[in-house]
Formats: sequence, structure tokens, C-alpha cells
Amino acid sequence: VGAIISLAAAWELAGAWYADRLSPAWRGRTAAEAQELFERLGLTGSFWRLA
Amino acid sequence: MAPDDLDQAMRLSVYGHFVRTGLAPAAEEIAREVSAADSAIRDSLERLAAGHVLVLDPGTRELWMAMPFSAVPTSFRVIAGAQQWWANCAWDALGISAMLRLPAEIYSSCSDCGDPPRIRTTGYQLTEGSGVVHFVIPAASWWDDIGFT
Repeated sequence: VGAIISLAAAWELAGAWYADRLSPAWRGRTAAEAQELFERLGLTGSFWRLA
Repeated sequence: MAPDDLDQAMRLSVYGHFVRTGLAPAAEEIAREVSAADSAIRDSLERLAAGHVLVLDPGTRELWMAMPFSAVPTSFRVIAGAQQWWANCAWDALGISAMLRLPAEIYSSCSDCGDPPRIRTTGYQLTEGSGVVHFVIPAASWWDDIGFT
């Protein structure tokens, strides 16, 4: 049940997701932006669909 | 201070405290740092929680998560030099090292074997560690119960 990704893929996801979190300019992601990030990292399919 | 400006100052104050100490700041500490009244701090925390920027404990309304940091001990511990942080999940443990760009060791409980796999990173890449990360809850439902997710 769920989705299983490699540790290497999780590292890529974590880096992309949190890279700018400490920046004063950080404003959060829209669902569309988050979806685009998932797709760029190959995280596709119904499990990763946000809407 | 306008609510948006206060929320921004609060966010930076909370994250700065986590980065420096590994711990969540008390509301009074944030109030001192951003020069705002306790009631304004409480309102701001609620706005930030509503916006999914932070997560508050459902009962006490104290700070619980400033993703990737956890205010409470978890199964995921990140150590960089003399500093340590608790992460909310495996993704967040990796996220702490990647966000801080610090060489780190990550300790967690393996859900299958109970062994504590060690992961090392340079802050820029993984240097040690194997295995997989299991996501149980589909992405569209992560915020239904973020504590469980």
C-alpha cells in the first residue's frame, strides 16, 4: 500500500522541496507548483496527484 | 505591524530558532524577538497553521512542526556536528540536511527490521545509506491528518 521510492529519490525530493524554505522570499507552493515538482522528479501516477 | 509582515517575521523567527537550537521556540521567545504582544503571536501562529506553513498541536495549540523540523522527539533524528534536530518523517530528515546544506548523520527506526539504518550526507549529496522510503498516504490526502502522514 502506498508508494515506495529509493533513498536516492527521496534525497532528491527532499532537496527540491526544502531548498528555499529558509529564504525570506519563501511563500509556499501552490498545488500546481508542487505537482510540477513531483513530475520533474518522476513522481507521477495517482498516488502523487494532488488534485 | 501588518499581519502579513508579522507572519513573515514569525516564520523566520521560528525557523531561525529551530536551526540554531534544534528546539521550537516558546511563544514568549518569539514575542520578544519580533516585538509583538502574546495575543498577536497566537493569532499569527493560527494563521500560519491555517496556511500549512506550521503545524500546531491540536490540543495545546503549541508549535508541533515547522516542516521539516519537529518540536517533539520522533523516530527520525538528524545530527550535524554538535547540533541535532528531530524530523517529522524520513523525507523531512533528509530535508533538514539538504535545507541546511550541512554534513549530517540521520538515524531512524527501520519499520521492517527495527535496526537503526544510518544515512550520511554531505548536505549536497548522499554518501552512505541504502533502502527505500515508504509513503503510506496519497499526496492529495497528506493534510487530512498531517500528524499521521
